[in-house]
Amino acid sequence: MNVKLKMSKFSSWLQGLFRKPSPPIEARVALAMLSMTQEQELSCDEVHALIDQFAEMQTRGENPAHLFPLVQRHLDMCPECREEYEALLAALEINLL
Amino acid sequence: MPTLRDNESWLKDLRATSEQRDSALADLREILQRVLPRALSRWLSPETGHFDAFLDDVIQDTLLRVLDKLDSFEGRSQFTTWVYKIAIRIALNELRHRKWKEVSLDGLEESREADEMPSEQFKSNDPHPESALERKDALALVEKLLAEELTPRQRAIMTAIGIKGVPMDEVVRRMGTNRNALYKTMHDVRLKLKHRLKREGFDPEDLLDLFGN
Repeated sequence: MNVKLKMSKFSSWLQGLFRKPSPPIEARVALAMLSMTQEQELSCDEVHALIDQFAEMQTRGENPAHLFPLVQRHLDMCPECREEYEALLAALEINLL
Repeated sequence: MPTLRDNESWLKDLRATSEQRDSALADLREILQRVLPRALSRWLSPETGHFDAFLDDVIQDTLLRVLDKLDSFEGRSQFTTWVYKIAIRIALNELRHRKWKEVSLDGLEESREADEMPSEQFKSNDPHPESALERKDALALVEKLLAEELTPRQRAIMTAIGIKGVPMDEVVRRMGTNRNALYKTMHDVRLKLKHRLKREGFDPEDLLDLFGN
């Protein structure tokens, strides 16, 4: 392989490293978001208002998603609320010790 | 050991004056000091330097917020569970901020013009949109919808949250709004895109399948 060809390959490899997220990724993320989008969704504050009751039901071995399907749907969509819910479950587990 | 209280006793003591209230606050502080380090261990190890100072700040903010919001407690859970969720939101919000505060988020801190809709050029460039759509593949269709339906700022938000993984808390901090408002705005945007996709005769799940998801 001559030097010019090597440099050309190296150059395209280097450009690839700094390339912005390609459109397929953006389109895919958008489609993934849309596929989970429902007409009716709870906001973060509405979920926050119910999450303590939801977590206690989960800790008691009940099925809170059955009673509050919209809360469960929001937790599936929203990473921040899901993290807060998981930390709350951990707190309740400590309480049981 | 903290005094055991039911919900009613917590409320009564925290609404009382001086000694009774101070005692209840001291008990809450002790409970939070015991519970929070382990509840938050996935995000911050108690071995981390400054952990104690961080915990003290979180607990202090929590107690202030609890007193401020006492009337909004509806008794749907144990009082302490209600306090935990407040403390956890404060703690994780701060940790997210610390993690992301140095990261530049293009397109989120720009002027109001960034929130205006793109010009009509996307629509007027194509003299036969129906036939053009038939020719384009799913990717081009989604690209077209994103360009036509989203403002530059909405697109920047979607990229930040969906692709870069930036927490909503950090996005709203940069934008000077709040998480609830941002979630509602993005829900409206997602619905708008979904409806438009349906009007074009497509379903997001079917298109996702084309991408091999």
